[in-house]
Amino acid sequence: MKRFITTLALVCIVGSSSLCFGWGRDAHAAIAYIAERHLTPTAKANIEKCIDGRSIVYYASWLDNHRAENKSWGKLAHVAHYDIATCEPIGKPYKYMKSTINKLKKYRELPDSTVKVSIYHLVHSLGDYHCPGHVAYYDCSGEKPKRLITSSYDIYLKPKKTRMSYHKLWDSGIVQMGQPGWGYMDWGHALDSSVSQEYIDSVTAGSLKDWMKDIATRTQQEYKIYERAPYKDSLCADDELSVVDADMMNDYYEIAAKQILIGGLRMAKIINDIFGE
Amino acid sequence: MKKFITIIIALLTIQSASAWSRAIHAGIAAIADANLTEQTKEAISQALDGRNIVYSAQWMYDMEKTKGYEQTKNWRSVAVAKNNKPLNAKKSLNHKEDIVRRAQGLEALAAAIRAIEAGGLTKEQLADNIRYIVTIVGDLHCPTHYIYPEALELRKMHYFYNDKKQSYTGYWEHSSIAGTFNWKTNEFVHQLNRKTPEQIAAITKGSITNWVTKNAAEYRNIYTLLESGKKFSQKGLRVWQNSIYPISTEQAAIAGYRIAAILNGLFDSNVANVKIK
Repeated sequence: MKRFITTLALVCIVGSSSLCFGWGRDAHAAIAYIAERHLTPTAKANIEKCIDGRSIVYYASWLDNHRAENKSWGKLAHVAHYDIATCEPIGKPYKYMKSTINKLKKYRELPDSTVKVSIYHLVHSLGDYHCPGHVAYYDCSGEKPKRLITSSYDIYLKPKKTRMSYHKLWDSGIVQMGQPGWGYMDWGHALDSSVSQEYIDSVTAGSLKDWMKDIATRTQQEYKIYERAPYKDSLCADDELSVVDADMMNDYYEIAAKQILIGGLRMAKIINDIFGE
Repeated sequence: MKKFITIIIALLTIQSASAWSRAIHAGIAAIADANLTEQTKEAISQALDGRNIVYSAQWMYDMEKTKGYEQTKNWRSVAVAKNNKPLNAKKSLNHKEDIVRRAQGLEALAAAIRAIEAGGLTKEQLADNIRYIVTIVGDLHCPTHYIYPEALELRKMHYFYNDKKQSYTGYWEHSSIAGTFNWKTNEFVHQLNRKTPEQIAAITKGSITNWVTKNAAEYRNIYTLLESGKKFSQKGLRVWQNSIYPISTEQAAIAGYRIAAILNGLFDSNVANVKIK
């Protein structure tokens, strides 16, 4: 009987979540919403004119939802790559984002469809880059960069007594488990009600490259996310996997919250710079 | 044990047999609330003991098992003829199919409006009729709440995902928005309450019967969006959902504006009544 109820409960949970995509959606919306809260009235009006009068939040996960429809959208990578020695961004994700920002600087001269997809890329992928699970490190000392660390491996999540991908934990687990009932407005209100201008200036100073280097440096050195839950072969048994326990999860909530806020503030800076005139 | 299993299964399926989800009804009511005039808000607040219409967005469903309110379970849908005009009450009440006989939503809505217009209601009766309007107009903007007696087989349309059979009507009622957005009540307002006064005027133009007839014609198209029995991969499901959420979100917005138009007509002496026919 107990087993039956458990099975039924699992069916319920899996059934109700099978059509959802988790953090992706909640954290992306929260980042875009925080960004929207910091837009100048001119920037907000100008960018919304480009996206049929909608909020940028509406499109925060557009790239995740629609990338299967068009090869070029699928190529707009979501995981950022870094040289492990310097923590500087390398490869296509950085290149594409830089190109998107440069493209948008001329938004008045571009076809509407190009502007739209560029905005969708900006409001989605800049959020992704602020997720520690979307940071991959490469050894760049040889001829070709060699992938060293990514979050694509399983860990054992002790509070839920289950194994799951470390990437998925950062993508969909932390935000949902941290504040399961929250919508993006709750996140915006909780994280962004009393942020000082000094803090905003400090996290938005520098260039895209500086920001990405900052994310990679903090993920590796300050947050130490890969040291806390080191890679173990996914073929190993549950009890051999790296364990993420309740204390670590509490730390992770903090990291995620901090990254959501910073991501939103930086997104606002880019949009204000481009669309504020 | 048998009884227990039956209850659990009933609980699992009850939502898919009902209507727009609770979240969507609340979101629609919140859009409506945001478009009420001060005079209307004041009158409604008095009738609802200081609460707004969002609180009662799905009250009609909550009451259907309460003595005296049993008839409300037949007020969720509307039956229309081949020319998309609503079937008259006599014709629909005498129909051989139960689902058509139970499609009394438009009649109930008209009765609620006429009762308020006639006046002389007790405070409780007034509150009930306001709540009926909010829920029924919401439901009359859910495409699967239109019954086409000559094509009842459409209601059996289904698809498979993860080898599980899923009802198409159930998809519309719950996942057509939640499959893409995790919006909470006020987030519906933030995302969808963005029409210009001219757009709102166009949406609320005409009589309620016109709205229903136009909806009935438009909603027939949703049955062309799925090949019944289709087996979806995760990617295929996502792409398919992308063809649906723009329709469902638009209908939620339209429902909100139309509820506001009806209520403003009833409670604000400066606003013209929305005609039933």
